Amino acid sequence: MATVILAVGALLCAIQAMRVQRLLPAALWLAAASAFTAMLLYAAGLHEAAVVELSVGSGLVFILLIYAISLSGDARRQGAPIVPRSAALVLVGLALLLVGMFVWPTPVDLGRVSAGLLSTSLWMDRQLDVVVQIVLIFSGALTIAGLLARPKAAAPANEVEGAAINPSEPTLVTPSDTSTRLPAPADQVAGCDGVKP
Amino acid sequence: MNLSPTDVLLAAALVLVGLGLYGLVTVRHLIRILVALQILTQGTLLAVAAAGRYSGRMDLAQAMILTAIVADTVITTAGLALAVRVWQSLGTFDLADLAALKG
Amino acid sequence: MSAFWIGLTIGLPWLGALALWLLGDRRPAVQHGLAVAAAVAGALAAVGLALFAANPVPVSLMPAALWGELTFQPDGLGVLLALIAAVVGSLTVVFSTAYMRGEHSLARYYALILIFIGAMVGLVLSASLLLLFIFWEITALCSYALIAFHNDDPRAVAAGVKALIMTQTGGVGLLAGVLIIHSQTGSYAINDFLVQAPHFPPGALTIVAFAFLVAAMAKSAQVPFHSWLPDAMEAPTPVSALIHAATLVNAGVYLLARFYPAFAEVPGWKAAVVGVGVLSALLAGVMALVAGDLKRVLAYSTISQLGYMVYAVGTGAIFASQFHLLSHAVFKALLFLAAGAVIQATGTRRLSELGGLGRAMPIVRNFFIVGALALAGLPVLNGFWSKDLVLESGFEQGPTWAVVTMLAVSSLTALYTVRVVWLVFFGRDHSARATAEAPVLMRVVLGVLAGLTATTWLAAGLLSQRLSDTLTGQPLATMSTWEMAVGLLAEPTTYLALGASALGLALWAWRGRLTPWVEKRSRFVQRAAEADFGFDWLSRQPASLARRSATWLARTQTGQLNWNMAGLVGALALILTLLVWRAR
Repeated sequence: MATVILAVGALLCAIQAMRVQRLLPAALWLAAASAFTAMLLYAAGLHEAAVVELSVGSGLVFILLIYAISLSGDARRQGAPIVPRSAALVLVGLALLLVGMFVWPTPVDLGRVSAGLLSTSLWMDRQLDVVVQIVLIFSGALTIAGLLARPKAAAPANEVEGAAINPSEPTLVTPSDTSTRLPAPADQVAGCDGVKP
Repeated sequence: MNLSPTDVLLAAALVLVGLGLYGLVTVRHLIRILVALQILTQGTLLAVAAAGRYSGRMDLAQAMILTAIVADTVITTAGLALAVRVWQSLGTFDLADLAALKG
Repeated sequence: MSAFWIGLTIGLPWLGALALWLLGDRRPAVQHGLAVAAAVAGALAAVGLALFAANPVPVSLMPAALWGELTFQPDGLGVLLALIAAVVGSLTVVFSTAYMRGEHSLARYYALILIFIGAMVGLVLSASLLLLFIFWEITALCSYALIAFHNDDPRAVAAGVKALIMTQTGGVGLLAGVLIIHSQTGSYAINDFLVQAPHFPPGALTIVAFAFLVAAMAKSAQVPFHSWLPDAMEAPTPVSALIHAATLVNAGVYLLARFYPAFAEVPGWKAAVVGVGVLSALLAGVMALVAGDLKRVLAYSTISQLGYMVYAVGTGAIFASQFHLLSHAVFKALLFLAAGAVIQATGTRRLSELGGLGRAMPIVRNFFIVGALALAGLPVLNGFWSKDLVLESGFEQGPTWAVVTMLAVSSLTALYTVRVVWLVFFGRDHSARATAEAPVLMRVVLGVLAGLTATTWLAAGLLSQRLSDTLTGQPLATMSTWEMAVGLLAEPTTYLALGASALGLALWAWRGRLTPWVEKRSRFVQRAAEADFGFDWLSRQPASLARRSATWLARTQTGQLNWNMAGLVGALALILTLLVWRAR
């Protein structure tokens, strides 16, 4: 019963997060949804994961969202979606239905039987995961350092490792600073022939 | 229909994933896309948790969830940084305006 | 022992290429010298290989790699072609020092030529199908890069791309054949395949046989895959001499000869080979007759002569085909290099702008005439003996219509040969264009090649013995040179061929009277020949089709996340639907 309430709560918060017009309330709803998720995890018996999810999902991500929103201002209403809503609904609904068909289990519920300790599983069996996490965090930090460095250094790379170590590296500089806009996508070169025959 | 708590968990996971996917397909605002991505990830976490409960290997599920949370956080952070950069360079968050590479 | 020589023959040019690349473009004199040194060293190593270490035992230069043994096998066939590649290669490099004087990007030029020489040697010496394929691809790459050497000239780049596309399409055939062979025999060794070929399932063997034939046709510029060779004349002339006359285009003939024992029993294969050879010889001969560019005439002539070699393989005369390959490599390189001297002196390739150069450049003229006479099949020169051997073997073992057609092509050959000699060195006098006689170095190289043209046929006995010793299972008759000479002189086909050549010469001499009559009736044929009989247009279609469809498909790449995600979700739905459907 508790699970149902929590699940419904999470769903409602998620729906609201996507529906509201202004960004700040959306971030709040998202934080609430993360909190509900954390509670669901706890109710399922995954205590440690629940704690981490609460602090990271409802905490860290929320704060980062607030920061980003504050840097850039609240959004207006967006334009019409590029992909028609009905098509999106159909596609996603169909995919979901099919995935559900594949994934829905035959009735068996082993409850909360735990086959081992988390610590053993994490540090012994899944050492690679730990290494990956470390690498991810490190490279993520580098990315952000590169991306949000002073405006003169443009590090346009999307790849995680591509961040410029030295933010004021002149070779990466585009001569004009970031306050000028990049040219709008003006001429659609349809029928471009590519390499000259 | 006799649904066990774990079934509810799985159903919730699926719906969240669906919501997140719908958001990724429909939304045009960069930051709202990250919100949708976050919802999607929450859904997958719940799905992993449900899988752990079904199979009895909850420690493994927890290890995976922890890794997934870390990865998701890094992605979200990097995505936000990118979004802010785009805002600073182009002054817009709209996807349709990000066509500088086109052609 | 042979591993050592093989390593040297491939390795020395490659080391030279590496050194040239590292050296950069600052000191041209050093570049020329280094290139010559590497090429000549490679040639000497090839000679050493031929003299000391030619035996049919596979040697492995590298430890057993992931895909099995990568082995080389210096048997008679391989060593012959390796020798040609290395020696003619070194001669063209020496010629290049004079021809390319003052050019830029010499490092790229010489490095590519040296890499090519090493790769060609590796190709013919390899005993592993995979290694063969790898070297095949390397030679194709070098060929493309050298054709497009003047990469600021759009025609050269287009020609290079066209050559690459056509030869690589053939390369797909080679790869398909190699993979099928591997799936049947479990190994990449050529000898394993040759032994097990009779036990292959007939369908598989047919596919492999024709796939290899397609690969050989594309590489050796046989109809209908020949359009790239005339366009490849945009390359610097030494490149044309080396790659497109003496070595690369021989790789296809080598492939056919090497695998002949495996494919001879495949129904229709030999007939197809004969057909391809005869058709190429005929069509290319006609196109050579109407071509207006000196190098294009030689290119069409190459296609035509390769047709002879292919035809010889098709009739089972492996020795004759390889013998003609040797002769052709030498005299065609001679012709190309002499043409290069002319082009450098006058600055033009068009026959309408050349003429009367015989007086200004007598030595070049004489060497060119030697090559031309070999091409036309004048007695004593190597072309005569090898072409007659091909015709005689064809007469004995092949269909009669083919021999008759090839005799007619001999006439055609003589005709277009005397035409080009006349138009360049005699005829209307444009000799004011020629600034000087060719430089000494060029003349020396031409002299060496002319000497070889006159003498390589003397090695026929040695060659036939080596070939039959080392190519077990191939139908080869051993004969000494004297036997061959006497035998040929006793054959009627020899005199028929001589008569055909004489007819060609006579037709030219009578051209004054014949031309009006011929021109009225053959305008259509002439137009068609100038348009490459439509093959050029045909070969452009796949590329333009690919470009058009790529442009059309590019519209689906909006670059917007929403579309991409919709595509992802849609694909997920599609795949899952298919899976559910199958599971029912």
